[in-house]
This record gives sequence, structure tokens and C-alpha cells, in this order.
Amino acid sequence: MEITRKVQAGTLQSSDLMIFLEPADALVIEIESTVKAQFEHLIRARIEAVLERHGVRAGRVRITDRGALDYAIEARMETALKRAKEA
Amino acid sequence: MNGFRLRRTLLYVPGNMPSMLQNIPIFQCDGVMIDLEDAVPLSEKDAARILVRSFLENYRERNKELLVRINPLDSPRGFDDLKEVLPALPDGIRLPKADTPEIVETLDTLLTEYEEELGLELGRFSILPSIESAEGIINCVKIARSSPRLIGLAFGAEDFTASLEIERTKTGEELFHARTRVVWAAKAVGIQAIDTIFADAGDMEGLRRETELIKKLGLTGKSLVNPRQIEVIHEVFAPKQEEIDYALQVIEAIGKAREMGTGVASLGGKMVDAPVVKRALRVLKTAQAHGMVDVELDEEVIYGKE
Amino acid sequence: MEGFWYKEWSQGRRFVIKLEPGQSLCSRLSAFCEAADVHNAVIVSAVGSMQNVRFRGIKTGAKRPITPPRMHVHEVRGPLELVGLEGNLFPDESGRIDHHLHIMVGKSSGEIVGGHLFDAEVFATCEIMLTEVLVEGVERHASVSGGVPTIFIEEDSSP
Repeated sequence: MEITRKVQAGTLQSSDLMIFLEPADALVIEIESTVKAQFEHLIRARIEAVLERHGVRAGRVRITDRGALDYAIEARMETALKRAKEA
Repeated sequence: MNGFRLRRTLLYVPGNMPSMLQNIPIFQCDGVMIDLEDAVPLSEKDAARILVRSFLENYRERNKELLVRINPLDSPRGFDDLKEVLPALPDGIRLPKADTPEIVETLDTLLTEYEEELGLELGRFSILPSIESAEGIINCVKIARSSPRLIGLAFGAEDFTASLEIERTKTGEELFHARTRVVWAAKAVGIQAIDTIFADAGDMEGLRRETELIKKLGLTGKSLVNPRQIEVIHEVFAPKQEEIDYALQVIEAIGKAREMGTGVASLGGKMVDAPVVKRALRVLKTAQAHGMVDVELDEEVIYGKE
Repeated sequence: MEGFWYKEWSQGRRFVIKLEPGQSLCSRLSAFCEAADVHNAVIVSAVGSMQNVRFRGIKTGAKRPITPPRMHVHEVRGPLELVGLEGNLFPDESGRIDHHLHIMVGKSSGEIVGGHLFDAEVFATCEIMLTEVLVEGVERHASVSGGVPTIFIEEDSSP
């Protein structure tokens, strides 16, 4: 799947995360998080899994995390991709 | 009643708030209604249904009834909600704006199709329609009969009073007839009647008064938006100790009468007839569900065999 | 031909039939066809009174095929006035006469109910006027898509 436009999903509430997605040549995932030290790699793995599932090779993914659990990370990423797909 | 299930408190949880969704396992209410409708702004409807599906998929061992309030079926949003969340197997759907039997039938046939597609037992998904307009109140007798999936009728005063262009007051005289009609319609087909929310979460006395009134009218539970209201509602619906003691005596009197082969039991000189027995049984079942009593309720002994 | 099939039929014998109280309407109609050697027929009129009438309506929003979960089955004890019986009789694949009947019955209140008939029991009387249909190549088959047996009209080569 091709990222063709700038979209966002999620909120800045606690236990949630905000995702900004925009077109880019390579795949770049930037993570800002209240629990960055312990969980950044887990958040990154979860984001990559969703991108993999949707066949996304390139794009800039900026994440501001407020301690979101896996189910919320996946859901917000899926929503961002869905919004990117909408014409 | 098929499967006596307590629904004293049905708590609304906003569908787009992970912090609230994640508290569902620890809330002490009887059931939760995850809200994709009024609690979610238009711009977030897509995000909320994906979040709720993802949450339900990861919340397998459930300790309470899980309903999802979808958007009304007079717009594509309601259908999109069903498509997204049903595969994650909520227990049932709260249907807003259930003004006619036909709209409930439409949901009924849709749920059948999903059950067939997902290879589930037909009739697995239940329906709790919101009766929340003048038209809904007028039609609620037919709505109550419109599908075997109905677990109850839920009265919604916010939209109801709006549809009548009147104020929703704390003493609730304006809701009296609507509530009693919802109770009659529900009891006529043996399903529950759930009352509307009490919006002022700070006014516990007002909540208690309203809950005592609706219990007296025959409603069996209440919707709520604030977890702090759960305890008060459970206290009101819990049977009083003297009610339980009396009910135990009734069942005992019946048991003795059966042993002696006499058809009619008496208690304190008064005859114990069928409605008294039925009420005693209901009190004990409710008490049991509250964990207030542990008694073997052998319906054959109580009602006798043919 | 676009979206329809047709065949001309000619009028065969015409019958008046009286059903005995307590009898099943559908089974007696089939028995009559056998007795009178009628293969295809159309109901012209039917009056009388019925009880234990079993019929169905289709739920709002239902899609094809019409399967049990998509229908409301009604059983009205009655007795009720038989106000109308519409429908036809054609053989199924095995040659047994199969009927497709819709019924209207009137309650004492004057309210009329009805739908796709499963069966009904004659109460006081049932007087049916029926016309034999002389035609070849019209049969009732189970329709997978429709969920309800429906007639199939074979195209014959003649114009």
C-alpha cells in the first residue's frame, strides 16, 4: 500500500497515542513516549507488524505515545492507514 | 425467564477512550455498553469502531455482559459499526432510536447474516433497543415482540424529552407514563426493562430516589454514565434482609406442604398462593445473584409436578 | 426475453370443491388433485372459515434466500373467516402436486391477517372454486436463491 497523503489518528489522552503519517521515500518511524525507555522497541515492533500486514514499504510515521497498550497501538495505526487510503 | 441475568447497572463506556475501555474488567457493574454513538464525535467514528474491535479481540475472558451501542441504522455508520465489531463477538447490540418494530427486525436479520457468515449459533447476538422518542413509546409494545433476540427494552429519557420538547427534571413526573408503558411492554413478553441515565453524577440522593421509584414501577435496571453511581443502584436493587427471610419462610412452607401432600401452604395464618411463591423465588434468585444467600432452589418442589 | 418467462395455458375442467370441517386445507387440495387427476390448477375463489392457520411473513431487511431466521411464522388459532386464498398448484420434479398458496383470514375485529400459507384447518366449511390449467413444461422446483419453491417455465421452441 502506498502512503499518498498526510493523515493522523488517535488522541493525546492517557493510555492512547497520536500517529502522524505522511508520504516519504523510505520507511521512517519516530517514537516519542512517556515510557520511551522501557517500551520504545515494543511500540516500534507493534507498528512495524501493522505496516507489514498492510504492505507499507515507505512513509514517515511520527508517534506521540501516552502509555498505549498493544490493542490501541494497532487500532490507531490501522485507522491512520485507512484514512490514508481514503480518496 | 430464560436464564435469570442481573442487569441492574449497564455502564456506558466511550468507544474512543482507551483509558476507559481498559477499565471495563474492573468496573463492578453487571454490564457494559461500549458507545460508538453519542460519546464519539463524527470525525472519530471510524477510529472508535476499529479501537473497540481491537479491544474486544484482546479481551477474551469477560466477567460481565458486553454490549456495543452502534450508530442508528438510518445512516451507513450503524452498518459500518456492525461490520467492524461483530467479528470480535460482543454479547449484543444496543440499538439507538428503536422507534419501530421494522428497524429492530432489520437489525435482527442483519445479525442472522453475520452469524451465518461467522459460523456462529443463530440467535447468539442479543438486542437491547433504546425506546427514546414519542414514536418509540407508542410502538414499544410491538417492538418488544419484534425479535426473539431482545433481552429487554431500554428507556432513553434524554432523547425522549427532546422529542417532546420538554425539560428532563430530577423528579421525573414527565417520564412517568413512558416508563410504565415500557415496563408493561417488556413484562408482557417476559423481557427486562432498563431505565434511563441519571445525568448528575454528583447528586447521589437524587439518583437513589429515582432508582427507588423505577424499582417500584418494575424496571429491573438502569443505564449509567459514571462508575460512581454503580454502588447506589446495586444497594437499591438488592433485596432487603427481611424480604429474604420472608422468602425463605415461603419456600420452607411450600416444602412442608408438599411433604404433607396438601396442595396449599400457609404462613402465619395466610395462604401462600402462586404470586407469593413467584415473588419469593425472584427475591431469592436476586439475593443469590447478590451473593447474599446460598439456597437450593428446586423449582419442581416449589411449583410441584404435573 | 428480459427478466420474464411466460407460457400460454388453456382452461381445463372447472371444479367446485367442499372441504370437511377439521381437514387440512393443503392436504385435501392435494388429495383432490389426485382423485380428479388434475396436474396443474389455479384457485379461482375460496370462502369458509379456518382455524390453526399457520403462515409466514418476511422480516424487514431480509435478503434472499428466505430461510427460517428471516421469516416470522404466525399461528393463529382462530376460528377466522377465510377471506381469500390466492395461488396455484403445479407438480414438483417428482410429479407430486405442489401448491403455492397465500391466505387472507379475518379476525372477529375485522382485522385481516395473512401471508405465505403453510397450512390451515377447516373450521365450519370451505368452498373452493378451482380451474384446471392445461399446460406442458411448467414445474415447481426448489429455488436455491429465492429460498422458496418457485415455478419454472421451460422455453418451448414454438413461438
